[in-house]
Amino acid sequence: VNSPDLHLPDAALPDERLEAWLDGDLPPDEADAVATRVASDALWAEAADTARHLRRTLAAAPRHTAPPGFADAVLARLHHRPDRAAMPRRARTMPRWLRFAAPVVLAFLVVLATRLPHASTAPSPEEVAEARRQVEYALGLLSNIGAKTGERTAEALAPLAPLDTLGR
Amino acid sequence: VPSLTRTVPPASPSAFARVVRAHQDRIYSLAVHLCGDADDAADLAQEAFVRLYERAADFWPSASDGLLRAWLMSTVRRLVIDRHRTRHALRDEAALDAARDDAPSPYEAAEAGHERALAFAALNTLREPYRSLVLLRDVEDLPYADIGAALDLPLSSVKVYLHRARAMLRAAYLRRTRELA
Repeated sequence: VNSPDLHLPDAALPDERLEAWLDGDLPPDEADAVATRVASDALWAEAADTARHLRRTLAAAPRHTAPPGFADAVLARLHHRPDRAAMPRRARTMPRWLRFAAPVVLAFLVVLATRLPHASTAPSPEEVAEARRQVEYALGLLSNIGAKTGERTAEALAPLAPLDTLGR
Repeated sequence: VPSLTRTVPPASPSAFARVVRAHQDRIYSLAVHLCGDADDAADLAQEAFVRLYERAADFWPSASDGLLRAWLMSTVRRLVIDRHRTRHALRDEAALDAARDDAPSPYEAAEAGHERALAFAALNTLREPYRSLVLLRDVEDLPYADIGAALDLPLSSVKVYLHRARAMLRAAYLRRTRELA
């Protein structure tokens, strides 16, 4: 048998291309080659007949039907496994111990928050002293730049309130 | 069963029973084909539905019936593998291969004619996923997309694997018929 297509040399045995051809899944040139081989080669013709026979046989096989009471048996299983089946899986992501621990931890945090000293908005005397040192240091730097500049700066700061009264 | 999954509240066992009845025959039938024992098949198919109920939040209300069926088929196939792996200390696909011997079970033989018994005997010689592919397509008549979902195969691979599976089935069937001749 001389095949017109190099995809099917003379010695080629029937393979999955035959199945693809029966399904109509081959491109036209390959389909023609397989059709020619099936028409002219007894081995391929037998394979094609067998393939069709198997498909018919399997398709005609009666489907098994579930035994009576199948659905009831499923429900009974659900009933006997309430811990797993009572709620959807995503609702069971929180461990049981955490459900009890969470309110206790929350209450502890609330009590702790009420007992902590509130931060004061007014500066402490130490903070005022530190601020004064920094201002004096800055003034010193400015005076080093030039006497006039320093004088002008001191004059400019003079009308301000005394430093030790800041924040009080 | 169109639109059933869109109307059933997942947390209601009685309503869930309707979903079970809608899919039970197909899932049970696949389980019988995969494990070859009616009692085991019923047990594993029921377990698949229980797991579906537990995962109801993942499916309702938007899942299609096809997706639901594919998930059930995938689950029952997984359960068969696990069952036989536990019993025979085998691993994964080898467990499903070993779940069936080459001969048709008495259950099948009693129901099926000689040709059908030969076909299923040949089918049972295939490795996974080839056997499941032929089962789902040629016996259960599932669409390719559902088969891909059930077997976790890309759609592009389903046809290629199915052609290969059918070629293997045909070769196995011809070997058997020649042995018997």
